[in-house]
Amino acid sequence: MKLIHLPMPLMATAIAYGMLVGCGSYAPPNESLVNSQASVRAAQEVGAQNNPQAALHLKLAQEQVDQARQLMGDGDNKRAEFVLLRAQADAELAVALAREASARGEAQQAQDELKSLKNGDHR
Amino acid sequence: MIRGLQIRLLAGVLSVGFLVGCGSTPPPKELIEARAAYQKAQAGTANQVNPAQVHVAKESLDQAEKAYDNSPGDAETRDRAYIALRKAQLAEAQAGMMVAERDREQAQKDLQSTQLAMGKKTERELETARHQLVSEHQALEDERRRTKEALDNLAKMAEVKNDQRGMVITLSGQVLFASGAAALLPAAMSALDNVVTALKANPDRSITVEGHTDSVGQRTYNMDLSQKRADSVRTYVVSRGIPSEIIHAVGVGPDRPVANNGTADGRANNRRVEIIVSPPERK
Repeated sequence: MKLIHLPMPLMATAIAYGMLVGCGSYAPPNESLVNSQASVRAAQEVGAQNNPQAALHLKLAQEQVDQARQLMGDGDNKRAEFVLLRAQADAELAVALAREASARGEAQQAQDELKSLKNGDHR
Repeated sequence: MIRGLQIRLLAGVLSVGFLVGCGSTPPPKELIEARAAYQKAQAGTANQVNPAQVHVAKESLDQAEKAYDNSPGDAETRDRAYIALRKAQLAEAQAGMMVAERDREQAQKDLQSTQLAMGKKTERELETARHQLVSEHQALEDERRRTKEALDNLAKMAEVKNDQRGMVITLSGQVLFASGAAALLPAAMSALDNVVTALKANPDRSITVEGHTDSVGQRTYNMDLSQKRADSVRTYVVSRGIPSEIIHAVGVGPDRPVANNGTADGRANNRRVEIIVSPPERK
């Protein structure tokens, strides 16, 4: 709304600048691409593909990285940036889910060991 | 001034339109899910164990809400809501991992202390068993020593020999009985106590007590006396704990002399009690 109070030539410049930033010259989100690819690799390294929930988010992350690269190829860097942020969020979730699953497994194993030791004691 | 007023009016109309526009665009499903996921994380365990990440999720949701306020229909709004949803889920998953790690640590600690306690218990049991063995061994040694002492003492007042019947303990009649009597003399009792001790070391044997006399006097009298004397010995020995069923008494009278009845020494040797300890199969 404040734009309306600006002198006309200034407003025109601002709009032109805004359009420039908004469409044509939005920088390629290379950093986000690198970050989300690194997060995908991290998810693979912690074995996200071995847990169904983690595997789902790993797959979503990979698909979104691919989608973002296509968008970058099409010159839609702004969309690509947000799709990469989605990919990153999914990859990070995949890491956490995989770690949670293995921590639960380890806890279960320790509890089973304790149980069998105690049962053996009662025998 | 008039132009300014018109513009302000226009602005007012526009903002009303904006407001109406906002109200009429329902939140995208990503935002609805993100709100629910955040609510869950905020109200549950995640907020207790992982408040920092719940806060990150809150900031992410705030951004999504702001984007929704400003441009409800934009793809960017959906993206921000999607990211907010994932941040809330991330807080939950991280909290789940923390809880699992805590559980594992607790279980491992319990495991260690249980193992330690069991180790101590086993150690105690071993120690007890060792003590028991030692004391059993000691008891066995004591028993053996007592038996040997008893046999040694016995050898001083009795003749102990082995023949085909087994171990034969020969006690002189003079030691055991007054002349012509079947009641045991006090000195006889200590002699017989040594016999009892020796007999207890061989509990599965059978025992025969034989009374013998010299050939002086009537045979029936001697037979009767030797039986009574054998019975006395048997009764005493049973009273000291030898089971009555493994011991029997026989009066042999003058029938099996071991010495010449023609001399005083010979007759003294013939007046005797023999205790024969036989292996069980010869019972």
